[in-house]
Amino acid sequence: MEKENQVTDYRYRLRFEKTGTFAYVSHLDLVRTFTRLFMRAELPLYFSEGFNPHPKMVFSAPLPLGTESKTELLDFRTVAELDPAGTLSRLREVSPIGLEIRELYPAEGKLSEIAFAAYALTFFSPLDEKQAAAVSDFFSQPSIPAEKKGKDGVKTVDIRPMIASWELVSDREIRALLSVSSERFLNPDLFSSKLRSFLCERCGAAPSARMLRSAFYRADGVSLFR
Amino acid sequence: MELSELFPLVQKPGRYTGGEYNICIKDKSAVNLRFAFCFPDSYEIGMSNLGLQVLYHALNLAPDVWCERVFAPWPDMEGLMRENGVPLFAWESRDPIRAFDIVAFTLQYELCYSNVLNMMELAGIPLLASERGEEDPIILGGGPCAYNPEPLADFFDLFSIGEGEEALPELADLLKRMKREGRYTRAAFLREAAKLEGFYVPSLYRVSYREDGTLASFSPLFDDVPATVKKRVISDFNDPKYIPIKPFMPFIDTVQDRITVELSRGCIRGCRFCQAGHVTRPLRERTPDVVDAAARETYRKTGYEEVSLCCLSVSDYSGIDELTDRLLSWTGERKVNLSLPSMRADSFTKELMDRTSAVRSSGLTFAPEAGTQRLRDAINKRLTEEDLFHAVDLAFDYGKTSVKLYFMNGLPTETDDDVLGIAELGKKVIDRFYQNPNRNRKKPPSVTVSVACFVPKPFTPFQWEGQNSREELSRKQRLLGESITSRKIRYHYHSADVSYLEAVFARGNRTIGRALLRARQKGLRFDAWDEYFRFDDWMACFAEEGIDPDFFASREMGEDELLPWDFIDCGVTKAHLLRERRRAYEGLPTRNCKEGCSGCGADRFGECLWKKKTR
Repeated sequence: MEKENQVTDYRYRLRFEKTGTFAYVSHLDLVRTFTRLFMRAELPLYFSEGFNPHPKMVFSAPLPLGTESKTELLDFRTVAELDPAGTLSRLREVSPIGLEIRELYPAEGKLSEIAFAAYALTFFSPLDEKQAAAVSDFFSQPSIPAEKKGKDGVKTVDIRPMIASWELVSDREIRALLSVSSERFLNPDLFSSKLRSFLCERCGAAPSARMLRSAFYRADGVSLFR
Repeated sequence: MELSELFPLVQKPGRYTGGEYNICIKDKSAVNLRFAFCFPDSYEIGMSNLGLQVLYHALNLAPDVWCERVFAPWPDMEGLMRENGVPLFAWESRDPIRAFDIVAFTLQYELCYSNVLNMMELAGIPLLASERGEEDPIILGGGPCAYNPEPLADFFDLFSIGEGEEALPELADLLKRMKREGRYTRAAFLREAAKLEGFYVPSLYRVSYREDGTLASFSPLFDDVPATVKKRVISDFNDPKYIPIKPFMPFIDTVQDRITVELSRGCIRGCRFCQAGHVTRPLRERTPDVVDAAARETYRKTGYEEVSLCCLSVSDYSGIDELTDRLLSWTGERKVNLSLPSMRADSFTKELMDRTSAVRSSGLTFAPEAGTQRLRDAINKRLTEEDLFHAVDLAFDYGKTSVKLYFMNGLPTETDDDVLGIAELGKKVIDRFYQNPNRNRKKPPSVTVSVACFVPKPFTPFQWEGQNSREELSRKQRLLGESITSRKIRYHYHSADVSYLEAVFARGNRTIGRALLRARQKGLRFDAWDEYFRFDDWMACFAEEGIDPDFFASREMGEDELLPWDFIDCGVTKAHLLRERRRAYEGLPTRNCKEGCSGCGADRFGECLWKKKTR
């Protein structure tokens, strides 16, 4: 709780899932979707001062269009204390399909403390032995140069240091912890396309796959951020 | 291939995913009639259309009717659908619309006709009504362009003329009843539908032509089919039942994405080029009570940050003060903006500006339509220079620096002096800025002069007028461009080619259908989008069919000529339109309905507001 502009300011955090076609709602559109959802639920939102008042919201690292997630976090501010359970059920009643709000609780710490996100890469058909071995080789590379499109054109970055850990949990699924801090952000699409093209090179083919974000971690890579 | 597999491959998957908040999902097993409401343009344009919201709402009121949305897939998606054999689907269920009972197209502007045919082809529905079989859906058309449905007569089974809130559910009921009683065949259904008020079944009318190409006769094939099709007007415009208080909300950015409530239908002004102002008469207003309650309820269901009031001329709405008071009593604290589009400069007041977010936007827009008082009188746009100056002074007082002015080139009786008057007016508005002691001193003024080309439209006093040739329009556009010397005036004009094609369709007859079919074969579509408009191909379509497009666009039609749309009774009579045409040539404006009745004839469709007030 803190004071700002003489308005008592409460900070809350939502954990939500983004699944199905809702995964195609872009980050920018998500901001609009939540603003309206909050207004439908009649939340006493804190609005910014000024010419064009708008509610203050902070989201965890953006997802590429089409990628699903079991854990997305949103911090928002209100001018009155909320009853978390009642508010959660009100929000759930007015949410669009594919946007599942799972938890609401007072926000502790800042979302910028998030350093890593856990992803599951699921293949639509099982990897054979050769492909499984190639997965291992992929991660064993000392560096993995990838082309990243930015504001100033395409540049090559080494994504290997942004992969904190990985595990082949079955012949269909790889789990990986990727860096999502603002200084070092590894786009999960870039990661999966790099991995798949490596498999293609080595084994002639790679099954299609989809990425799912499942959790956020702090800088130590062990403690969960919630 | 599944539709969802195409999503990652297109530019904007959000156009096709569906799942928007407030859409209507029904249990297919409990539904007796599937209705596809097609908007023949992009998702972003279609989702911004209030008519779609209104009719979607009206049709879905019936528990056993499921109305779903369909939009024109953007060319990237269209290519993938064709490549992968994915037929055109409905946005809610993703079911192919070919299996629906009724597939309806809303006809908002002429340049979407090629999209209509393209969508039918993508759906796998035979384009020609005569080639469709019992298993094919009934193809229905409606919307503003249905006031001259003839260019599309070959492709549609029937048209709904006028307001659809009551007409479409009636049509759905008829179809359900006939299917239930086992007496449904296409022919039997269409014959029955033709007897419902406000429906036109082109195949039940015979058209013959004179040697000069004009119509010789237009008559029903059977005695029980009406010779004149009367447009529909809903029985009670104040009935809240028909207000879509649960509008579907797009996730992606669209053109209009806010609460929109209609204030009125009809217009008291009667500008002589304006089709909407004539065909929507008689004037009816919703009470401030009904509008406010609808806006509140819609807010509860949407959480939108803006309320927009919609009608042909907002400032003519008689309850505007009461309504804005009521709205402001709850919008302010919720940080909801109030916006009033389509304001007339002659009724633009400080009070209105104070109340609306017109203040917030960077600029204001007014439509003098013509550059001189003489021409404004001739077209019955009675806005004076003083009215406009008063309005821009107010805007400049508020610190506004930019003003947009809309005009038209090629209006009947227009001379080069009128064209040059547009530049003159723009310059005077700049001068007003510098004469204003309260002006914004940090920013230089900017006046945008936007000039459209006049297109003669059915059911207007100018319906007989020939459009200026494309060469003449281009000459006027150049003349105007050369006479604008100030760098503070920005000048835009519409393509004369596009406006020409619009005129051909607007006043076309059934023969135009052959060119439309050719256009489909040549792959023409999205004509309203510069990047896809291919004028030379269109001209080739007409030439190959031996159709002279000038006959429809540039020819002055005879006052005693049988016009392709004469069989429709839109309320305003031909006699009134003719009177108004004469007055235009005499340079006489006509009083508006508030000042007195000019006998337009629309009160046959219900007492108009101003007659009611003076009774």
